[in-house]
Amino acid sequence: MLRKLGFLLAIAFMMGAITFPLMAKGQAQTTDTGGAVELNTLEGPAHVQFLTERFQQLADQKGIKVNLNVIPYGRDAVMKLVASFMAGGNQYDVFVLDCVDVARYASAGWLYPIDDLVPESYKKDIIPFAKEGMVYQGKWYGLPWSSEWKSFIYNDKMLKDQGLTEFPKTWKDVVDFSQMIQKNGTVKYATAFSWAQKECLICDYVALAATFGGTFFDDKLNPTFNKGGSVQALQWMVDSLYTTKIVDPASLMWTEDDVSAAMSQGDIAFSLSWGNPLVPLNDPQRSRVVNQVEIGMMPSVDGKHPYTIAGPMGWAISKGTKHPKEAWEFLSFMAGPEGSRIALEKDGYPTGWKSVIEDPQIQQKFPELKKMSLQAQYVVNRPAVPWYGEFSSMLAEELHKALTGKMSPQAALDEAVAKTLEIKKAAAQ
Amino acid sequence: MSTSIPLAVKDRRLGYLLLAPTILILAAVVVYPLVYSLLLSFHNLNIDNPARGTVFTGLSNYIEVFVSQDWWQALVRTFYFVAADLLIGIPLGMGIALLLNRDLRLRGIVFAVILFPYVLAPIVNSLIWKLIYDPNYGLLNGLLLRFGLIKEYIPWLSNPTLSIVMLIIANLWQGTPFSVVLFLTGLKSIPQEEYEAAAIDGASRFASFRFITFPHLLPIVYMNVVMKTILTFKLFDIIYSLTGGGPAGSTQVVNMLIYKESFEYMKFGVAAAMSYILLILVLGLVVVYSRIFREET
Repeated sequence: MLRKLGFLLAIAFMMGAITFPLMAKGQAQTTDTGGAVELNTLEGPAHVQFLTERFQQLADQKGIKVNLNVIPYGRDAVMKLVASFMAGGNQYDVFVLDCVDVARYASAGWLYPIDDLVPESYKKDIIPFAKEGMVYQGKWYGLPWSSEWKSFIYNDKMLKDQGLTEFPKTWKDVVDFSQMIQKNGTVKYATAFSWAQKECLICDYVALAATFGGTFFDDKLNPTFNKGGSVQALQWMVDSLYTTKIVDPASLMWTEDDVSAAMSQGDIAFSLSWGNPLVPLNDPQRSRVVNQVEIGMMPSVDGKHPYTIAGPMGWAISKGTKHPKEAWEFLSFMAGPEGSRIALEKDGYPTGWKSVIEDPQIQQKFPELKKMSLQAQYVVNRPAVPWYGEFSSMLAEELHKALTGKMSPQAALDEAVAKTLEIKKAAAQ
Repeated sequence: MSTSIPLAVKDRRLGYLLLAPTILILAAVVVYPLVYSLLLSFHNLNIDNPARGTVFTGLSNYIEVFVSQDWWQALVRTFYFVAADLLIGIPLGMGIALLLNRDLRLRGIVFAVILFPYVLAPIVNSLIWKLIYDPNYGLLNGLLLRFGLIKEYIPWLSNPTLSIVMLIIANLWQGTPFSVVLFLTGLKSIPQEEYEAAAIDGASRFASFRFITFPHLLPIVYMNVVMKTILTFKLFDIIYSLTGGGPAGSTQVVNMLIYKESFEYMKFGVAAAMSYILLILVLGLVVVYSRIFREET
């Protein structure tokens, strides 16, 4: 009898040991730890060190602890965020919100509007393009964090070694210069792009299409990318892989991080890069091409369409957070004007605040911002629609069909347009 | 008259009591999600338009799956993986097990090295192969170029035809040790007297294998076929990490498609329908296997 009782007590203890932590974890993910609030967030690997330092400063200054979940690639956050939102939205309190996700998340009611939290000084200071990326149907959802576009960067030393004194202004120049550099044996492929079957491919394609005079959507959100310059752009991309052979074939599996790594190792001469790429490229701890790389205007088909893709991102608050007040303090600390200045100085995050851009000290420290701001006048955007996720996934696959030679560019884009219209129609039902 | 509870009844009650924690946990983590996702497969959550709310759609999610070209293409690709796993992985596992079943020096170390891939987390396995397949610095290109088998580096994962082959290789590397372990266990259970008797009768090695070893291993083969079919139909990690379903959708297997329907398209109802169709398909295959192997044994 005693033995059986002992056995039952052991079973009860085991059940308690298993279920108690599960019950505790099942409560709000954010916890109060002796007065210190904990917030949870997630980000890709590129800026972990900087983020960790800033989060520690936040904890020291305001007693708000931030737990960072590092994910392999920035866009991988989407899966985790959606799972979190579907489960109530309190697994991640704050997160970096991409402009292409604002419409979907806002439509689904997953975002915490910050209109009433933003002080007047912020409203006057914000750069319009940076704010527009975080607004949907008149409501504001995030403070600008990386108000960026893709810049064309080139290894000036490699060009000078070939006797070239200017960066390429046209795509023909890019081909000619690349072939010169490759022939010399400096690099195997002079160029690489982020053409993995992911959102990064859409960004590059939209930019390239604009440089060929092509368009993406019309005013009524009808797809227009199977005509004119948009088709020529895709043809150029295919040719660069198989005919002119100036683009590393590995580009078909690369994201932006891979391209940045190749540039910083001196493996390529030209690439497109988000933000202010010269900050990491001029850091001797992260780059072998210190002071060799410069920013230029985007090449285009005729030198007159130097367009690039805009991709403003911001820190946002989950609607399900248990600590909206602390979450707003986090946003203000990280992405307000002062936080944005620190992010620009330490890690190259492009700012969305006029006061930071116009600061003489910043202008002196980052002379390339002047060149970058010239490029900012030629930006194109992706459509802010709730069905963007499905559209993007479909288009990336269709573009890849052309890039891998399975279909011609025209056929791939015609198919993509037909599927876009189906997605749009289904979303409207 | 005695009123005490019979011992057998007491034992049964204790048995139920001891099973209770497991049943509760299984109910929470298995039964509830199964039932919920089945219900989900008949609804549209309208994530993008919460004002519409959850709508009952009947069989339309299932119909959408059956008319979807993406679904059938993903299914065919998944069958490639399953076929490779069964036709290559099982004989390979059996062969390695036969080799390890001998009295080899350092057999323990060899066994540990062979088992190593199986104990790795799938994501770690994927990252290792990502480095091996790297088009510019990868070990595979380096070795093949050094031995003169290729003239220039090959972007293994950028080619739609090659990429699926490379993923199959990476999957076999991780999955084969599982077969090795099962077959080794089976080999250990074969009575040595049968081999001795066969040797006395002058049977060759091949004859011993064919008439003694293989019949004894048939239940293990059956177990391998069933487990590998189930595991390979669940394949996701390696595809997600290495290719994301690309290039040009050439490695998009069923589970990648289900993931996309859920987290990129937000069509949880359709994704749930796909999951249930997959479940029925795999169950059907297991029934077929069990009938085939019952006749064989």
